[in-house]
Amino acid sequence: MNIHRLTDEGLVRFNGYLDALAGDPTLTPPFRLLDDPLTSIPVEGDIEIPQSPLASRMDAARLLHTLLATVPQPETDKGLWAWLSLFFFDSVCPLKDGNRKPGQRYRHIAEVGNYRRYYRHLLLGPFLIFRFYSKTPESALALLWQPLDKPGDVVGQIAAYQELITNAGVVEAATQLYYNPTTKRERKGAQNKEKGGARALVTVLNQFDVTWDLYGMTAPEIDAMLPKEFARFRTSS
Amino acid sequence: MIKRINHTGRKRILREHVQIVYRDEGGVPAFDAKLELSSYGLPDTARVFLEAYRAPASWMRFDFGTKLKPLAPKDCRLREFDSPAGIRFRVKITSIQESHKILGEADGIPLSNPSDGEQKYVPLLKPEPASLGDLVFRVCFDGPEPTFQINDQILNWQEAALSPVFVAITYPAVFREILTKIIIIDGHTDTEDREDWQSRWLRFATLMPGVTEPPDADDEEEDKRAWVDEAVDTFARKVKACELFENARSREKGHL
Repeated sequence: MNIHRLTDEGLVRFNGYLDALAGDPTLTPPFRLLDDPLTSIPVEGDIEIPQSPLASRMDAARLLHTLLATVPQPETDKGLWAWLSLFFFDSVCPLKDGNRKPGQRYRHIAEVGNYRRYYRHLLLGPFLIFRFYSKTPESALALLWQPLDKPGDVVGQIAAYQELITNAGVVEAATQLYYNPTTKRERKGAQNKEKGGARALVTVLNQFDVTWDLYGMTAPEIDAMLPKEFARFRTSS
Repeated sequence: MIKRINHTGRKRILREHVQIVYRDEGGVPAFDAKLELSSYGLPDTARVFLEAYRAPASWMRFDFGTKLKPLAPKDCRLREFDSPAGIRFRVKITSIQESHKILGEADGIPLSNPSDGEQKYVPLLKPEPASLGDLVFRVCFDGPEPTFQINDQILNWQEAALSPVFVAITYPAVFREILTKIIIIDGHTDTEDREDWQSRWLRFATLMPGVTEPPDADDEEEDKRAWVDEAVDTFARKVKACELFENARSREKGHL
């Protein structure tokens, strides 16, 4: 199938499905919207998209970065991201015990005008992060290793601030703190609301930002400034 | 970032001392910058950086040498941006003695386009489309300045945002929400700082005939609310909100 974007009618129907899913979590996704001319129109360039489950945010981002390379300003295209969400619905809202839990609407239909919620979209978020770090995506693994449907608090905290998500030193420091390359998962406590978790990191960085030019700093320089509460992540699993 | 009080002695570089002008370089957006930093008492060795950014995730940094010898980089193309729309700049002056310490800063500098002519008035609030579910509008305080979001699902949302009924009902409500945020929630009462959006809004309010100076930060909340009421009433009178509304209704009923 080629990549499409949902039309206004398609968006209404996809929204309707998400509404209905709250009442009946067993409902089958309306995949017919994907190529119905009333609800979808093809994206220019006849871009074929493979139908295979996406294991992680990194996998999704890498794939979409390649596929959307010729699409101008894809991040502003609400219909495109809604179509992709529906196309990969089994990955972004997987069946568990026969039920689906879609969560907040912005996870599936991007709020492209809302600076703080762009990243909450389960496909647009990783795509934007990967695109920004496309030369060194491994440096952003703290934000990309997760399964698509569970981005977690490290993503939620850092991606909510443009100043942090676009700061290579901050993102690399977060990866060194919270991502364990051996287990290929997050270190224990990364989601902790205190004691050096992502929330604490954002609070500390907000304080540093008043005095220090964080954009000019490397990950080791930022790491060296962090208080002792973060030290446990440097050695933990 | 969350708005914080500056206790660091960092200089605030005024917008009038920073000029960033758009130019096209072979189809790629680029810029020229003119900085006037001599009046801030900054050390000659201080380093100067310009950062271009646009939500949600575009950012580039340019090294402009030192305060004494400002030197634009050879390449001032904004390669991370596919168009000049919405690009803002931050100017950072940092210490060379105390590495990475910020000595001066200006933020939110727009990229001016000579072909647009000189823009004498910058609107305080400009409607913009957003995904809002079933809400018709929303005042968003998430960015560096408030934005007036209109539901992008509304047909011809730009036209709708200027319709008399919409203006009559929403504009005073939006004005109240913004003044309440400034005066009551943030406790900001300064009207003189032209670089600060809160001061600009308060100044706008006090320039309306009959509106007194805003209360002090430590005044009673009741007094602050009374001042907001006074400003909103005056604003509604100024835009003739009730008359707009009634006329629009009359037209709907075919009474005119």
